[in-house]
Amino acid sequence: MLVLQDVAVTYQNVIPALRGVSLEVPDKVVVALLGTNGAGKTTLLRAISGLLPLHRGALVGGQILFEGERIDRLSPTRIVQLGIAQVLEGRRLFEDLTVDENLYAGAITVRNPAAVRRAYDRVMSLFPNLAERRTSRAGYLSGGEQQMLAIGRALMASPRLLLLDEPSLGLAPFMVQRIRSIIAEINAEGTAVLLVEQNAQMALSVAHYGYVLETGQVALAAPAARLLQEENIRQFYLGLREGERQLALGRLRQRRAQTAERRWQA
Amino acid sequence: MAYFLQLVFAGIAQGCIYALIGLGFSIIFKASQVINFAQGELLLVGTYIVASAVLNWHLPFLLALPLGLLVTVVIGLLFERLVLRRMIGRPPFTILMITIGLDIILRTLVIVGWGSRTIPAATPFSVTSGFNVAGVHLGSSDLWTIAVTVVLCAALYYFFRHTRYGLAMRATALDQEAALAIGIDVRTVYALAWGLAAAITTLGGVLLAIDSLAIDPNFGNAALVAFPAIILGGLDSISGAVVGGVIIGLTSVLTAGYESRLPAVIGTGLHEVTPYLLMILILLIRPYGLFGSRKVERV
Repeated sequence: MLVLQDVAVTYQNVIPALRGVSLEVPDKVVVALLGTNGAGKTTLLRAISGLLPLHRGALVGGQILFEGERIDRLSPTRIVQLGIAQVLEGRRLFEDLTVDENLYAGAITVRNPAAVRRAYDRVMSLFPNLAERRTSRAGYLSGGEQQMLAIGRALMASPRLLLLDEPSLGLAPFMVQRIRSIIAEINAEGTAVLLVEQNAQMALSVAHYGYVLETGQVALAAPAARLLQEENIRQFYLGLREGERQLALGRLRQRRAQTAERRWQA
Repeated sequence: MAYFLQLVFAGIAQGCIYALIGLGFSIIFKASQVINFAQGELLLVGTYIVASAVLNWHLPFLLALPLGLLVTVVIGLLFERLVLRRMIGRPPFTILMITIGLDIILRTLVIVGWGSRTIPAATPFSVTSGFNVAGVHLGSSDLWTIAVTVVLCAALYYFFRHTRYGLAMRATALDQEAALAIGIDVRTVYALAWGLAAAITTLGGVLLAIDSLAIDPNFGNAALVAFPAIILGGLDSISGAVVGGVIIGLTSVLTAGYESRLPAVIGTGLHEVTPYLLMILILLIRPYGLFGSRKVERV
């Protein structure tokens, strides 16, 4: 469905952020994208959704295909129309607008009123909390509700691929679990998800496949279940003392060489 | 009493003009966080076109007005297309400086095209038209000004509340990147904002010119008088621009009407100062203006 081939991205013509990333999100699959701060996760999402120019970044190599069509030169509007919706990191709601207005703004690319109606009903059944707060200002919702509204707003475009950037950020553990089950539910309805997360445990527990980005390159790619057992990942992402961190990093780099033959064939 | 009511009526009419000019500022500021310093010159070009069309080309006023609006809207759209489109994502300050450049270019073009002497303004009314109610003269131009403003505000309210593009504009104003991420075409939003703002401001300018009977290349400074109106109302608020405009109009006209009774030491220019004094006073109490949005924060 979504294929990135050797994608390289540079900011302001000089700062490299991605250095030849290849990645694939097959139909109806959840793919987790892990990595430390600055690894290039958000940049990768921006490259897909066409938001790079806004940050003075540009694709300097490779290509991005969605259902066989090149999308890396299209406008964000066109990309949303093709079926890719992105939830930005930090939710980024229109805080002065009501819940309903936020949702209808999410359907701005949808011309067919019946389709908007359907998407709206779907969002409301997915997030019953929002139904009770339809006319309140988005800025006054709780953190969890805001994240749900952000996801709901993206779903209003009825995407076939949902890009989620750190949906669990700053949420209480029970809310993180709630987000996790929502992702599973969205996926069960047939939407593919590319999930960027710091919370590797959560991400890998819902994903089918996982990639680890490290300084703009894919360090590791494997089925999620295997990544979850992978000793290095466990150490690296599930908390570790500083000295051991370097060790884990070194081992991760070793693994990178082996990933080529292990790359997943979809 | 009749004198007071007369002043109130005149003040409201003048306030409506400030409101229209102020709306132009607000719409662009809302869409792009930019104060458009070329606003006054858009208005200048518009009023000159209308005046020329009526006086030199002998078009009826009702044809000249849309022509003037058309020209300024085209200027606004071209500016969006050629300049602003490349500036998406850049700091508002950069764009603000560019609008100052546009301001200078437009003013120079007007001087090149029409010369710097004063020319009579186009008007569809004779000065004395209108009717009297209880000793108050309701002039046609003032009545029309108020009617136009009311209708336009209602239309704008409907547009922003109940249409797709209105929603797109409000969303873009709040978070440009989030708007892009959900597929809002920000360029269309900018174009709409500039087109709308240019048209509304020009309308305000033409009405103001009818009031002042003559225009010269400094006529664009009228936009500066609308400035306290929008600051007072809250820079990003449509209703604020209207209320602010009326308050400023009333203040200025009432001071002008009564300042002759004040001690001579204050002088007769007080009405030019009171709008700004009022603006400072209100900003001290409400720094974001009467209707301006404080950022929504959860408690």
